[in-house]
Amino acid sequence: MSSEPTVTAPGTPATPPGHVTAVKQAGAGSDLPTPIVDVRDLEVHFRSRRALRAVQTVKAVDGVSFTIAAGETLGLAGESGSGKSTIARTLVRINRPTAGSVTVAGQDTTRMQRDELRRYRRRMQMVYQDPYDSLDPRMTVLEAIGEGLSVRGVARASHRRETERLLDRVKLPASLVSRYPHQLSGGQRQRVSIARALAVSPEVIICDEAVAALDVSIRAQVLNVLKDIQDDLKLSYLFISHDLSTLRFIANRVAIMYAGRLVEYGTSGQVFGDPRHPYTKALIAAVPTIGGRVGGPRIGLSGEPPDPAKLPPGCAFHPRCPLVQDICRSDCPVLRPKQGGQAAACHMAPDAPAGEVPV
Amino acid sequence: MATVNPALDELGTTEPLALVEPRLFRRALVSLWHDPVALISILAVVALAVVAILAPYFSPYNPNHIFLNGLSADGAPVHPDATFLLGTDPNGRDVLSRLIYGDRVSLLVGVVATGLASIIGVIVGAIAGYVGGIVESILMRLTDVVLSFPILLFCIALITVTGPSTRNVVLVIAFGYWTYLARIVRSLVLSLKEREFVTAARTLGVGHLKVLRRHILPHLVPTIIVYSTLGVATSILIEASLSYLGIGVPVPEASWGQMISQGQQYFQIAPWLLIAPGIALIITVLAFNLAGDWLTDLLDPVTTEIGR
Repeated sequence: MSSEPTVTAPGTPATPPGHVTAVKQAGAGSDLPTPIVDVRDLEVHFRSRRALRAVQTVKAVDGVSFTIAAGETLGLAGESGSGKSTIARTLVRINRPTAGSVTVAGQDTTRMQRDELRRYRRRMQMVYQDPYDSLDPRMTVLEAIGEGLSVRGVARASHRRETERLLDRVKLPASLVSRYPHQLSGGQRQRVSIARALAVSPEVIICDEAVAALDVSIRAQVLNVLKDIQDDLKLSYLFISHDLSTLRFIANRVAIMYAGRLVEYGTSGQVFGDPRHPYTKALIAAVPTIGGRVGGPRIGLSGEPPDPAKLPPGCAFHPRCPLVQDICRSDCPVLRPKQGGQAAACHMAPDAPAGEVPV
Repeated sequence: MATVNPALDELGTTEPLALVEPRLFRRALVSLWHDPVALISILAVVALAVVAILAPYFSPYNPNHIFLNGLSADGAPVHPDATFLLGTDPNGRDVLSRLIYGDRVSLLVGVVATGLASIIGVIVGAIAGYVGGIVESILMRLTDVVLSFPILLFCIALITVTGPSTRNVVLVIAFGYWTYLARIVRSLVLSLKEREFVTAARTLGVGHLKVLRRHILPHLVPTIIVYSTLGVATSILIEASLSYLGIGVPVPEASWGQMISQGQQYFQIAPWLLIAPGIALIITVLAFNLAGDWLTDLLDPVTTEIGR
């Protein structure tokens, strides 16, 4: 899985500049899986309209492209407000995309309406950050999971048996079926959330900071449960986290976001082993370690993430970048293949030699 | 790791279990035991309801019967005595019997009017909060229009159009009172629909109506109960005011407001005519208000839903 490139879906129009599905390793075979999720140039803009004031447009997500192959985990990292959760909410269509396309198993989901949309929702499920808010406090585990089973069309009579089977999958005892959420611990609730997502037998599960609220020991248990399920069911995960050590553990490929755009995108080994973008370097250096630094010398980031309503010109990262040059203040770098194999959006990172990574 | 607690080991985890919330009914009894004011108000509400339902059994006479011995030789109401426990009114009718039947009218109007108002208010508020956009704007501006009238004035204006009858009194009060609940329900729904469990249900593919019914309405129940209880007190007061003004429950049916209105003319020679229905009204309104306060504390979601 380590050097897994993705292929461009056949019949798609010319790839726009910076499109990352074009990152292809030389000699890659044709036995690669077609991506189950194909996000292209996704833009999600929010407009704030206030009386007697200019309309403000917040570009929460601005031209993001990525793919997820069947059975693969894509990690998505970045600071708060970088647009990670907006991507997740757009994939499950809580938010509507402003532009771009989201193709899931060959179906364009961006124009879906009503019944079609409801059928689609089964394929892509989400596990939420807050285990205390994502389960209805007035519903037992059986009722919560049963809701998903009903959507899938499972007869009411077999809800209990199915629920117990799903609980077993997330390594919870069947005796929890009649419990209410407040009778469960955070880790147990999060596993019930996973079981609820599995109830509709999805192909993709989005974990939006799904383990961020858990203790470290519990976090490992839940991550292992997720890995086991993936091995059994060949699910794909989009794993959103600001915690790089979690991503290093679970993700095959990693995308780093900054101010609504991808700044680095590659395999886990490429991005963590040899980061190309100064922002990625700073993030990795900021991971706390016990007894000596693993991430190399600390690169302190000064300043705040930019206001998404007033992004700086050029590269959005330039006011905080240690390598900033004049070109960074005027030209916005595109995401393109760099030395090492991954793609990065930085003027200062040397491009990959043309022969090594055909674009 | 050594197994300290076999129960925890059986769960396949070392996480401790959260404490089980004591059942609501038991909590209610415990809190009543420690709160004598609440206990008395609940008992008063129950007693008023029992008297209203079983009025024919509690009432010594027919409330509309005019007694030949109900007026003294000079035509004045009879003082309270062994025959007429609370005396008679200027028409020679037994005041206690009228008071008991008046309780029936008050509670009937209060409960039915509040019930109707709650149904309208919950529907309007839930739709406005859940759907949002232009629908919300229209519904809430409509609510604001009704709300901008003082409720009593609004009811008086309506009843002069519809004409006084017990049914019209109920409808008019319901039409004046739904706005309060509509506003509260809307704001609750606005915050509920952003909760992750609602989003989670939507992304599972559950339809809007089912989400409203299963994930939103159940969370409104405590609020509805509390405001309905307080609404009964308000409705009873409005009914009494309308009847006092002669545009409420029509004569000869007994109603407290009407009794107070008649009694004040005879206050100097027959003070019980004013005092008896006045005290009955005060006790009823106070009991419902205090019961509502107690329910607020009991059903407060912050203390009910542990961890939230």
